[in-house]
Amino acid sequence: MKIHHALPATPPERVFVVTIGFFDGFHRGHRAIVRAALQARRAGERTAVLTFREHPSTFLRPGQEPPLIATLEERVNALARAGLDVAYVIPFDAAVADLSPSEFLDDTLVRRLNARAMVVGENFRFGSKRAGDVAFAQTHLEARGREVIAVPNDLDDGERVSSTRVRAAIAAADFETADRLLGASFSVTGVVAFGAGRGHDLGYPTANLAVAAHKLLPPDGVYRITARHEGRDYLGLASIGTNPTFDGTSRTLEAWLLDFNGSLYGEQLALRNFRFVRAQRRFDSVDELVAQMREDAATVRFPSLV
Amino acid sequence: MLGFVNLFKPAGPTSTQFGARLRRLYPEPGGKLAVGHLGTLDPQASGVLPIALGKATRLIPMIADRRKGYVCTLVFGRATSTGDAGGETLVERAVPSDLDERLEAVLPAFVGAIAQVPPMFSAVKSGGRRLYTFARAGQTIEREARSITIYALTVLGRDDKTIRLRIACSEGTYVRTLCEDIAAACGTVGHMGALLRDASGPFVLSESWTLDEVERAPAEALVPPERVIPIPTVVLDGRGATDFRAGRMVPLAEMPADKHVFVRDSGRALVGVGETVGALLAPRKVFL
Repeated sequence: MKIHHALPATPPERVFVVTIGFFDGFHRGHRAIVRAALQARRAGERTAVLTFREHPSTFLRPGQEPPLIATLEERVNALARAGLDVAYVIPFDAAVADLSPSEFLDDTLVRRLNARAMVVGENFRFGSKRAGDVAFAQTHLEARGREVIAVPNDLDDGERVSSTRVRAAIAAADFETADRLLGASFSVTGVVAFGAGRGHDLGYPTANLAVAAHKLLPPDGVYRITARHEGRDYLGLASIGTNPTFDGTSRTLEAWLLDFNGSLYGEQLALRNFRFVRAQRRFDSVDELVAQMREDAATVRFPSLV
Repeated sequence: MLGFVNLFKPAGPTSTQFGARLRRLYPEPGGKLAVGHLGTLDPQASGVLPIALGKATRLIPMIADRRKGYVCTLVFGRATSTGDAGGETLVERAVPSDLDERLEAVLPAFVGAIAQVPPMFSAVKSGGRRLYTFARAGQTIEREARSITIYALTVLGRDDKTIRLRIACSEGTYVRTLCEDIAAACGTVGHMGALLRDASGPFVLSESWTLDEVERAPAEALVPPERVIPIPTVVLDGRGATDFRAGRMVPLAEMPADKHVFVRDSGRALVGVGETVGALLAPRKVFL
């Protein structure tokens, strides 16, 4: 997938089937929309996604933006894996926010992107103050010989699958629900940073994962995970919290890959398949902590015995 | 041996060639001197190439400031196979007459956190193999996008189809790709011309040494770790230093405000890095 950081300066010669949205988490509903866009593509056409670097509320309601299920990198890579040809990843600023619904359709979609079809969810709203809806887009674009494809909502338990629901499930450590709504495992990617190095002292080499500040993390606790490193999956444990035994204050994510030997510093890890193991607690001694880590490892290795 | 060299790399040689030259300058008794790069430069690029020597290689993870500063030229109208001037021409396109206006309109979109797809001619790994090994075999493969941050982006000047850009960015940024993407946003193609790195974290161009200068005064060229990693130094007396070297926690009369400190013995030799735990100093790295 080719990434562009600005809308085309001159209209592209080949027409696009365009889908629009922030696509946080790339959940089941998002996947259905992208599938519909790929199916709507005719010979000689390309598919494009118009998306935003930062969540629109970063501009519209600064300070109230939600923590994100996926970082920019994770989101763009999910869109690429889904099979889209081109991504326009642009800043959400006044130039976008102030467009009226008809300006957005005429200027952005038709003139700048040369869109033959727009594929969105049936609840999609657009333009200044979210004044435009699917019915408006249909009337407006069909009069200009373009098409609107509205994808019906994906329902789960009678309710629309949404990023808000996924966020609530992750915040409650309910990964069965989160993963079901996502249609994939919730994942946390990051680069292993220099940490306290305490794990090494204790005989348990943990990797301190640097995670983007706006990323939604599960609540404090110890989790079973699988960690992907250079295409291989390792079973492991992740500890999210403030290291109460060591009087820590800053919140960190430390991963311990059970069957990995070697240095992970500077390497990229993707943690998936989160399952809650236990809450964080303060241990009276380092020996107690080490005993608990051993027990956690056994819980993860032999789940049927516990 | 423990220290850093802020080397100036001219255009031409590979970054790794300098490691070998430094090994000859700083003999390590009883072994081969370890050298570590804090980010290499492509052969045709010039500028700041900091190198960690000996035990300083173990301090690289502690260097928090990984920002890079570059000055480069962006040549509009021609795309090349490598993204720089050394590659074969892939496409040629007209340069728009209103290039200045277009640049002004698109450059803000590149400032901040952006997703960048690394070039095929890069050392990024895919499935355990370097991308350039695929590229040299004529293959193009799908690569994952990576998040990078552009802190500042300024046009310094323009001469017909070539502009000079100043860039402040995060570690891992590919300036070649940035140039190609800026050209695409302006509605044409382009490639990176010359590249000069004027800062790599705490190492800046005005304080860099050419290899000739380092060869003339190797001892003076060494940058001590305190200049690179801004944490305080604690001096331990004979007994304290011995305990610290043995991996034992050492009580301190006065606790430093920072979590991590350099530990030196009474002879001013660097013993290691300690971390404060309550009223004790715990060894995190020990240099024997």
